[in-house]
Amino acid sequence: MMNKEDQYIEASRLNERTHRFISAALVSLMMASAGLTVAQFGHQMVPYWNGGYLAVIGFLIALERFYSHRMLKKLSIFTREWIVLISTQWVVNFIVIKLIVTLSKGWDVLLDEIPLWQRSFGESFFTSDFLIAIIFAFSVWILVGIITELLDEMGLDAALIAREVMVSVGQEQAPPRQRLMATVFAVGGVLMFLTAAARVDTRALFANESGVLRQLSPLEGGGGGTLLYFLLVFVLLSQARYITLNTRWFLQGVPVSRSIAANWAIYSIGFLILLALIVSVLPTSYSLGLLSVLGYLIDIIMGLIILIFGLILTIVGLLAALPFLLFGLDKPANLPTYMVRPPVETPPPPMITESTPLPWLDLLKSILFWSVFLTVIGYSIAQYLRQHEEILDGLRKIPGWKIVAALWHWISGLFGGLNRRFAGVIEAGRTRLRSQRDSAYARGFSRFTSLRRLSPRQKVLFYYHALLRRGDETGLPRKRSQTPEEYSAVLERSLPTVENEITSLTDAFSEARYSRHLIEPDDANHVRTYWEQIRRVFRGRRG
Amino acid sequence: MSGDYLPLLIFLIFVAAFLRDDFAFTLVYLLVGVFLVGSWWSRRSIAGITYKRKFLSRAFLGEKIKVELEINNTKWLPVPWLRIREGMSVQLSGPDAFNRVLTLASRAKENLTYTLEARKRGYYPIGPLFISTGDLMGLGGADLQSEGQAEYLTVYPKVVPLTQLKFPSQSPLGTLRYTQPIFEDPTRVMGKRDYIAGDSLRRVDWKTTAITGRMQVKLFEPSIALETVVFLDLEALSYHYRTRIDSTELAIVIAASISNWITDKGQTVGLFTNGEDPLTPDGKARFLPPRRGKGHLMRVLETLARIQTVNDGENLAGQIQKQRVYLPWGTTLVLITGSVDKSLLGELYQARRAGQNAVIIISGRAVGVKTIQTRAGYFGIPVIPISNEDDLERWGRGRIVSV
Repeated sequence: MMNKEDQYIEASRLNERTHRFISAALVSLMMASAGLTVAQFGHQMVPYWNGGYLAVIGFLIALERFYSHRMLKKLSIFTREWIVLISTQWVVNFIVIKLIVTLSKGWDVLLDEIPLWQRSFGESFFTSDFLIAIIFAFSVWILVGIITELLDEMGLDAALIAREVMVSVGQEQAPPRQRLMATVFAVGGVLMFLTAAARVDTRALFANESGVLRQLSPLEGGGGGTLLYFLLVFVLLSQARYITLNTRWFLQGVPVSRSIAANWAIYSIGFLILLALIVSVLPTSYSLGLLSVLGYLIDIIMGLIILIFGLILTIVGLLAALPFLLFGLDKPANLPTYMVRPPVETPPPPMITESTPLPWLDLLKSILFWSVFLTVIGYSIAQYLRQHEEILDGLRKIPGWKIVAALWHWISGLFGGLNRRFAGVIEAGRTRLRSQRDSAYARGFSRFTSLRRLSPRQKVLFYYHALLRRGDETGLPRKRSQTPEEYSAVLERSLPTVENEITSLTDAFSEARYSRHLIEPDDANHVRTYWEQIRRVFRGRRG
Repeated sequence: MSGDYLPLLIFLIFVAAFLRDDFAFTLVYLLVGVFLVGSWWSRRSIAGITYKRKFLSRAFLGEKIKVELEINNTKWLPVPWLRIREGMSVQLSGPDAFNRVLTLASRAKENLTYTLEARKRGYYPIGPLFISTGDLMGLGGADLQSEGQAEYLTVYPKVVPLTQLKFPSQSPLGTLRYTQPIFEDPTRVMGKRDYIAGDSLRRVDWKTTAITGRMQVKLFEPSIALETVVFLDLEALSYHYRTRIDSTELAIVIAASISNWITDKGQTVGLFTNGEDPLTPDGKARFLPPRRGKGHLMRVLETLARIQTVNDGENLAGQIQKQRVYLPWGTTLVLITGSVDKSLLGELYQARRAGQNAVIIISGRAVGVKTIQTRAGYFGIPVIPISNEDDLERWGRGRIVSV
């Protein structure tokens, strides 16, 4: 029989194994995506080279590395066993890679190549394609080894060992999750560079010709592979986050809901789909530069100001001319005739492409693009600086920083003020509605037919009003100037046997009337008990 | 935002600016979107979490209290993970506070239950409830935390059942039978006898006289009304420093047990203490005037549950002087303390002279109990030393407690 802690460790291990399996699949797919990007980059550089097989190799090598990781971990590096294991693995890898590379060109090519191996093995076996594949496979092997090691560090076993030996592991190093992020983002940066490089026409660049940039669709030239890589990175980071949190919760002995693992995967996928949808509707191209957009915006604003000014002047002019029109007199000679000046004609934005049918749509798209883009960049940098005070301290020493900071404060204050004012208006409206509703309740107690329909707060108010009414009937009326506390003191003097009940009922009324927090049904029930006791005493007094 | 995230983003922005390509901008949006949407989601999630805590707010010592916690997600956005932790006293929960990690779907609620044990009398906060959550990727900065309100649980002090206490009283009309036939209760007829010259005519039972043909008079039972006020001294310096905590707790148990016994007899009991009550604005416990009934007993027990010792409390002798003038003739003043000084004895003597009775109960370890007994004996004030709960039980059974 396992004790509770063992069962909990077992459940955590099972959870972790599931996530490790998912992580292995994700990393393998990431490597396949990387292979796809490398292949497309190669194809752009050398058009006759087709390296699609790199995706398959990346996937398989990553899977194999995950599979053999545990075995390799048990062995000390450069021992006989380790060398034997590595050698045999790589011999198998070589064969598999060779088969994939050759089969990617067709079955016949493989059959033709095999006899050549006997004649000149070096030349026929180690082809350029094969060597590229080997370099790629080795890079993947090393990279996946690092990632697997980091996932291990985040996992339960490492945590248990740390707890057993009571030493702080890796104090000098950044947390494993951060190192994992650095690794996968570094690879992402390389892929991004390759994708960008694939879009540059090197021949045109060196020949000093125009049209250096190739017009490719987003998914061409490695774009598809890189995008897929980043999407998978986010799923992997989500998994890593789960493993980290799960380990932390385990160490702290916090019971975790069983449904969390399944929901985590669902929400991660949902989150990425939602994000993809948002990204897909955001503008990713612009026909006008930032300065042009600003120029057009200023023109539009100036036009609007002149239009409003013209309208005001026209109205004033008409009012001034009204007496003359009424008495049939001529207008004074010097009375100017104001006319609404048409807004400044904004020249249409320059056409970048001939196919753009609506210039204003281009302008709108460009405004939207720059607004979104600059907001995103500004917010990200502000967040980053807020989290890295040391950089901010360094920046403060730069001359002219004060002007930049003042400008920033002004802008943030302007937006903050607008935001506060807007929130204030909404809150004021809500408060007004709430107070109207409360006063309606207070006025409308006589209309209530069933106490059960009242909320706990209304019940408390009802009982207090009943106390006032009964007090009035028995010759203890509340003066308009008396506060509830003062009236309570008067009642307590006259009804000493229920003084505690009167105090409690008054306190409950003050809470219900003047606080905003929730009044529980139990509180209302207590108040009813107090009221019943007071009512009994009131009856006795009348009788 | 993670530090590893920004260099990549800057690089991407450069690439995007250079290429002016859809692909690069899409990646920029994707990277920033993960951060922004993740942060927004976390903030919305935590803002939409509400909770309700249900439990019986009063418990007797040793009782198990079931606390039901309803966690509610009021928003349409699901909460991927939510860690909740109840802050509570060790005396209720032991070393393991209530902790859970859960996930909440859109507009879902989760009912959780845990049990507390009332191990020690007191007025305990249940909560506040600490809630934390974060984004799925861990890119949106530190986890967000919020703190709910605490609610309070009153654990009543231990009540030792007493059966035969002997308190002096001089109040003639009451419900307790008294052994000394000084006062007789005309409502309690004990029997009849033949008339003797000198008997009051008011005592003649005319019906029985008519039946028997002889003059018969009624015999009444002697009785008293036991109006009692317990004065509980919670000034820490009144108790021996080595056993201060135990002695003050014992004093509270004695006060609770005596109040319970008196209420059981249908008599009135009041409570005055110089201890600290956390519920009053000035921290001073309110005087509970003598009342009868279970409701009043519960109020006494609630005060005793909350009350704490003080280091610079008011002089109890002075307080007795102030309060006793409002108490009726014949009231018994039960003083529970750890030591007795001259001023206190003098005040109790004055009370006796004014027709009130006094009993001193010395709680816990005290120095010179014999001397106190002797000195108090001159004034006719009994002194009962109770050093532990066994002594209290023994005294409650009518046995003499030795020093």
